[in-house]
Amino acid sequence: MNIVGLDSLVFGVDDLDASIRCLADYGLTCVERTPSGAVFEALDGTSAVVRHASDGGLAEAFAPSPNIRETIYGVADQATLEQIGAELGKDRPVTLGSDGVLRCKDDSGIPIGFRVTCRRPIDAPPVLINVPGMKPQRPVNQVAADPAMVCTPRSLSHVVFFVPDVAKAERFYTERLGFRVTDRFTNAGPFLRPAGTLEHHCLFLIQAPAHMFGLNHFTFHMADANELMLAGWRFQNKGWKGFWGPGRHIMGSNYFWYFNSPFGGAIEFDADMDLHDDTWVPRAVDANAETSQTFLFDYRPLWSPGGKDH
Amino acid sequence: MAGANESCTDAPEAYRPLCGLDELPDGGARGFCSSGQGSDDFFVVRRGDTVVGYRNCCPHNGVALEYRKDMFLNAAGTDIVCYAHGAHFDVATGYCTYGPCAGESLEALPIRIEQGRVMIPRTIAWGSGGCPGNKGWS
Repeated sequence: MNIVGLDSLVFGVDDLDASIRCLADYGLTCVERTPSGAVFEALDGTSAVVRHASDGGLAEAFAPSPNIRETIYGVADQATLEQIGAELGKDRPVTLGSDGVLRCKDDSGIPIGFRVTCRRPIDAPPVLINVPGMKPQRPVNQVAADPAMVCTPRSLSHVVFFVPDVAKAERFYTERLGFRVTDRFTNAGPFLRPAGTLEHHCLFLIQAPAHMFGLNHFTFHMADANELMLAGWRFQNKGWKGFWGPGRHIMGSNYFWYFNSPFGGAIEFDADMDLHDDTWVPRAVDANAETSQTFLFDYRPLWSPGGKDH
Repeated sequence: MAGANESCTDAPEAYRPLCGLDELPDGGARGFCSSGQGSDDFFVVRRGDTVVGYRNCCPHNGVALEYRKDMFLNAAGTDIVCYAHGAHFDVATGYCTYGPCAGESLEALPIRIEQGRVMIPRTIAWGSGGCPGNKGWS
């Protein structure tokens, strides 16, 4: 099934102002603000939607608030949407909303939706680096380090859930929706890639006790490591509490920087994820500190070696 | 509140002032750094004349709880929340009622109120087990 990735994540929160401030500080663009919530977009039109947990328009909560309330995938075309509707309609209620979203629940009970993707071409300056031994990318006399550089997340990357039965959860996505397992943490769960993208994962599932069911984290893609570092550093300077990073994952190779958030799980910046096709043979390792990252740093404030006396 | 620092509770000089009770928002929380430098390693929650204190360390994987400075509670102020993975804790006891560490508790910091001042142990020795540390993905 030609699912291209995540289109939108919908959250039900208990502190709407803090959540809106979080997404604004994160760098997304607010495209809709009403008393009941807001919609924030990345450069390609993918989005995070935030509403008060009591909002009647939200999908039913499956975990205490704040938490994620709905995960909406983008599909390539109307035919794919109809294909998904026919497949999932075999054994569960599926509804088509006036917003064009086909809605149901996955086999864990997580509300999911599908729509013809909103993704649009990204209009942003190219990221150009100079590497010895390779043809230079950045033109002569064009500088790279710009303290005023705007860092707008480019695209919704992935979402991660704690689920009570990871094997059952995985089967739903692989057998019913055609997702591929790209890699696996044997003590946690699978990284999953839908057929319409080569990106390592847009979904990662973590086996957890039933009382943990819900959001683990979500992230948008930044342009590259440089932009991730700058965006994360600014985010922390604005008062958001770091959780993990910056560092670089091994599974997926994405750079990462996680922060605590008012959404019920962590909010991450990521960049430079691996691409895989169907010839890739999934790796399987235990998740631990060594297998989770190639390196890890902590934030620190600006500093200079100048000192008073040089 | 009893805890790892109970041995210091007999001598008055074993406590030092943290701040005035009226400097804490009633019904709210505030984080502090025990060394005076660095990130907040404990926090207190005030309800009227009662103040409770806890180490800023989630029993789930040993990280700080707040999402911003002093934001340790849910919006209604009824629960302490870890904003990494959504664990909820009882304010009065630190007991985790929901989330990854359900059934475990925050490490309590003994607090005294003396003449309108909030007092904490002069020497803070966090539990011998230390912060639980990362137990893995779940």
